Amino acid sequence: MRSIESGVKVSKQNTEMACAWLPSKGGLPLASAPFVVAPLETKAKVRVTPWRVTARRLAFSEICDLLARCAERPVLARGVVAGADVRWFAEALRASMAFVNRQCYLPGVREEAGAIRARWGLVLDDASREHILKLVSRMPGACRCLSEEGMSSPPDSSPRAVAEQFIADAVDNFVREANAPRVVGTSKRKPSFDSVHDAWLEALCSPDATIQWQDRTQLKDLAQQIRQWRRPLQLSTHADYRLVFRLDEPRDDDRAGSAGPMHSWCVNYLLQPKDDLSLLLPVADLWRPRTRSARWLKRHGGNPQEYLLAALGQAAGLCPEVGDSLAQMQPAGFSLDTAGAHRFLTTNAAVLESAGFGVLLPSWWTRKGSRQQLSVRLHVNSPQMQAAAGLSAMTVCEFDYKLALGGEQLSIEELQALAALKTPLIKLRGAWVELNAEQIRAAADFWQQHPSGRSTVGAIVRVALGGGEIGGLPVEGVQAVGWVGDLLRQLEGEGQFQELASPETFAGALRPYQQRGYSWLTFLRQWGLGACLADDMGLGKTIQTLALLQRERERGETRPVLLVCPTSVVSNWRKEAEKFTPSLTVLIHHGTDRRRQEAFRKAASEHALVVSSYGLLQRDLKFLKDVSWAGLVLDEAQNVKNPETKQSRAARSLSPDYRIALTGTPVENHVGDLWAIMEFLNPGLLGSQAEFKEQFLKPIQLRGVTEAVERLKHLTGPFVLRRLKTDKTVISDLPEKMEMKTYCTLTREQASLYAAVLGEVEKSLDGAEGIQRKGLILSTLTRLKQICNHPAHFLGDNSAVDGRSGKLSRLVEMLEEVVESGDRSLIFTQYAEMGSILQRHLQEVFGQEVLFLHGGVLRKHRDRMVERFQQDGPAPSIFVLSLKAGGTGLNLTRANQVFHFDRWWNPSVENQATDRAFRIGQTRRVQVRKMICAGTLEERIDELIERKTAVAETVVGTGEKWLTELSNSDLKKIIALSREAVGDQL
Amino acid sequence: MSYFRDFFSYPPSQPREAKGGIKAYSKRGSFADKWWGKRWIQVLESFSIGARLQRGRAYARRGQVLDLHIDSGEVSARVQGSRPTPYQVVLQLMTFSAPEWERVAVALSERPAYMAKLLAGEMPEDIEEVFAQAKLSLFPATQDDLETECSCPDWSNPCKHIAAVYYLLAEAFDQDPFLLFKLRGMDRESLLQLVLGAVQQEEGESEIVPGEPLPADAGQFWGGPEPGPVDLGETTLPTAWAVLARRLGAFPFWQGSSDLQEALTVIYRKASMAASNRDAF
Repeated sequence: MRSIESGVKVSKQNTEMACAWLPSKGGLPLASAPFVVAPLETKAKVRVTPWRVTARRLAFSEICDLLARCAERPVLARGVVAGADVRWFAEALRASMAFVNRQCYLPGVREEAGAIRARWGLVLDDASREHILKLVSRMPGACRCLSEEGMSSPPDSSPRAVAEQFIADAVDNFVREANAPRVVGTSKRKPSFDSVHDAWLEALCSPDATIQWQDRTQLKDLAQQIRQWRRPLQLSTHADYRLVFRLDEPRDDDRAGSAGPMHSWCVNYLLQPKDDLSLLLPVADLWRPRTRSARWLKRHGGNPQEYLLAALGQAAGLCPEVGDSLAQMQPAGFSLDTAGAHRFLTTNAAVLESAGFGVLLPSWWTRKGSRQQLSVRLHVNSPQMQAAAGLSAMTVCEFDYKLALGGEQLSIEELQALAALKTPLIKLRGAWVELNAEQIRAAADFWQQHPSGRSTVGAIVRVALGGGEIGGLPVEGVQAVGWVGDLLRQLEGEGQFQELASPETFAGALRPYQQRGYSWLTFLRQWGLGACLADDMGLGKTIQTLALLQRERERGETRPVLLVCPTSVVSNWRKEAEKFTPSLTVLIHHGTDRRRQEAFRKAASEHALVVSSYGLLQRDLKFLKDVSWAGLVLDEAQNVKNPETKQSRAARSLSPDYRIALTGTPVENHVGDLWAIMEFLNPGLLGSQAEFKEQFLKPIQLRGVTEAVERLKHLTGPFVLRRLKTDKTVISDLPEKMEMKTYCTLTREQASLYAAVLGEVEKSLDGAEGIQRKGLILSTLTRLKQICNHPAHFLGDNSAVDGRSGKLSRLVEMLEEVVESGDRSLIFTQYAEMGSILQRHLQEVFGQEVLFLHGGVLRKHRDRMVERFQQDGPAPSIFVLSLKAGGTGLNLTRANQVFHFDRWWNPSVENQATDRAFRIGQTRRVQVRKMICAGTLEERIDELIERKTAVAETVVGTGEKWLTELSNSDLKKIIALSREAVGDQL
Repeated sequence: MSYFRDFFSYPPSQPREAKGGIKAYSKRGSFADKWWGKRWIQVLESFSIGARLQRGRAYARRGQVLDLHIDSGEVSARVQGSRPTPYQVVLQLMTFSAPEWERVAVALSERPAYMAKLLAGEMPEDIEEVFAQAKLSLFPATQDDLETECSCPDWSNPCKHIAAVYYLLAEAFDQDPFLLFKLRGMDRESLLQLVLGAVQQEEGESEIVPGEPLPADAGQFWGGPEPGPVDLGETTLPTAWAVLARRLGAFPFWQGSSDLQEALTVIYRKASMAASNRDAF
């Protein structure tokens, strides 16, 4: 039992036996996923049969906790995956919470096992009914497979019944528990009540819904009273119509420009047939048999009057004007003065709507944002200047502002005149706006006292992008001339920023889109604004960043830049810097023998780039802080997505001139992660964490408010650059096949195993001759390669896999991005043992099936795997292959990511493997990565092959044999272990 | 000695405090807002029982009526008076026979708007005409129509206990005019059936849905990758609370110590807050 990972404690005492009815054949249940048990090969018929299972009843709060965890991510822990049934329940719980929020429930009672208990009952409107049906259509059978022990036939409750039951139970439990008194220590004394109604109310707010009342007749009466009380709703939920209230504004010929005449607004009653929502029949017409609406109804055999009057009777309790209108013989609506219209807009409308009636309001009221009655327009006057001239987001500039109402700029006098009108709504230059006299007066006072102000450019940028407010009023627009205006236009993507040429000493060519990315980084850097480069994996975030660093050095920067990345990519940065920016001096700050304190400070100041890991950022923060950093770059910045972690705090506590975050995971998909990354890049942009939660996170995640999504995008957009490899502007710059090398770092365990093998070999190599020497060398190469792959591969001991191999960690990090973006990948390894370690581990990490093809797989199974991998729609997205020549003839063009986990050192073999994906039929760009452990034989042999030395073309082509021809000293150089190979393990 | 002089004049007895009784919704002034509720009270007031009327009103407001049952032709209630044991009050009203109701139904079905008004909780103003057409009277016409009884020692009939019950009934009729018919021997469902020929569906938590066997196909049984979350649309935070309950109006014969709508407002608000404050999924 993985009780710890699921958060649910399991013991003998709290479990019981239950019966699960599962599709089974050949005496075994069918596996829920192919990676649990390989499908059985029998012709036997599948039957649903009962299986005894250990079950644990969950309290409602436990269910909530568990399901909340599953909703986040189906993989709860390594190897613990929430099935589709559990995820379905998580969705159903989410829907239940929405129903609670919409107040779709009423108090009642329920009779169960002879007892009458308090119960909150669902009252579904058409929209909620539709949601439930959507849920029902996706329910896996497993959601209803449990029965009590000893049942003779499988449960056959319908999906709809199960869904409604679950949601009803969830709502009932949630409402009761949300209202349960929070008392510490329960008193044994039974509460006494004066009436059955008091007892009922109390039970509706207690975790245990028992009504503490003895008299059964009275309980029965209560049930009867509740039925009677709820009856009116019964009538309207079963009606074919819906009553709609439409507020119509005074016609144009009414006197405009002032409070308007009395009784000029009108609420009209309309009927909406539920089977044709586009129709709105004026109730006024229904009373007159000759009108079109009445004829329409007659044709459709409807007699809505009964419903209509019942509904109006109910609405009368919510809106007194409706009640008054019932005094007429043929009620069709009522008229209102302006104050009444405002009251209807602000209170009655919402009440009627949440009670299930339709409400139609004028568009100027419902349109988002335009209801902001009063807003501020900012004016910034700044001289024409270039960014480079010592200006930054920290520069303080002066501004003044004007007030606007409903989009119309107004003078103080005009505002004060309006405030004196004492009417909540006015028609201002042809459009209605809400008028809050008190707010206007306060704003006018504030304005008179502070007609202008001073602020950092950063704060102005923030309000211009729609964040924050001034004097408690929303900022509707920023007008700026001069350099501040230029900056704002460029940030909003209106003005073109200057596209820069590659730095002079940059070794290598930037692709056009990389050129743009590098220019963008430079633009933000000049203003001291933080940038998040979130390009797809493989588009070269590293190279664009290096280009910026190079340019900075060329322009006279002497301070170092700190780059923080996961341990597994430290080597990769070193290698990339060597390749593209050889003139940048790189200090790798990690390992136990790293410099500290003063020594570090001195060394850092002598280098252009200091590369370190997240672990050390936090551990060495004290002296990292003492260095004057030009910039701070976070690679794989999702590492700081949790703002509470030490590394996240550490990253925020440094104060470099500029900050850059690199990440390949689509930040926009993880709203919750955005705050910490943005807070690092541009502190304050998204407000405090609590403000962010209220303004963005909750509206977006819990309530699906699209307007909040848009606002967030607008606010963060200028600081995030994300390009997909499929973007039109990018794809044309990319070759059809991109080959890359990914350098990995060894863990300490790998390094010590490696060193031990080396020590052993060095002794025996000198004495070995001929065939024995050859054998020794080949076996040594294999053992070292196994260690580079994974200690468990080398030891062959089936030991734990997590956290022991730098190469595997790097692969998982990259696959996370690949899986998230929906790409499919091939992973090649020479070794079947490694292949099976990979399959098992990746299945545990990603909670999905990973295919594994090796020499022992039968042909028909192989064909089936290929077919499944190639199919459209849901399919396994990771395919591990360990085949000589990568299974020539296989067509795996659905893959566009290829990883060579270890190397054949034979380009033609590797190319053949790669060509499984890169062949006719491939429509996407293919990325090929060769994984190499830096500082080991893998890196050196790779270099030899690349350099195409004398041996290369001819000899290398044959694999590893040529290595046996090398002299002992050459061989020792190749297989040696360099200092930088070892990563710092935490 | 005044002791002798006052021998035949009892000081007005003080009722015992009643707990959990039915509290009238009316707090002052006259009972019942609707014409038929008022009409019902007129019947009582026509008995000219003097100050007992006023005391009956006070009883109804203070919750001295412990419980109240409306059955066909009979109302029974327990009223807490000055003695420890509550008094039993019984009101009996002549019920109409089946053929008589038949005649009312015919008259009603000729006027569809009447039925509609009734369903909206309104008694049509000229409903009495309908009954008159059937040669009946909906409200008690003579003292013989209505028999009242109370176990209290007061010689007056109706006494203040009966009056209290009477006032509460007026409020109940205000809320649901069908109760008046029930007292006359015809419950709501039967009347609807008689007039409209329709059977109203009784409320249940969910309709009965036919069962469905478990799928034997592994894919359907275990489910595959789902097509993403169900779009629940935007949920706006409510601005008004317990709206459905408010739509339903007053609870019949509420005995609770706190106001139901107020209590529900607190509960709904707490629940919605809790639902929208859960840590983000």
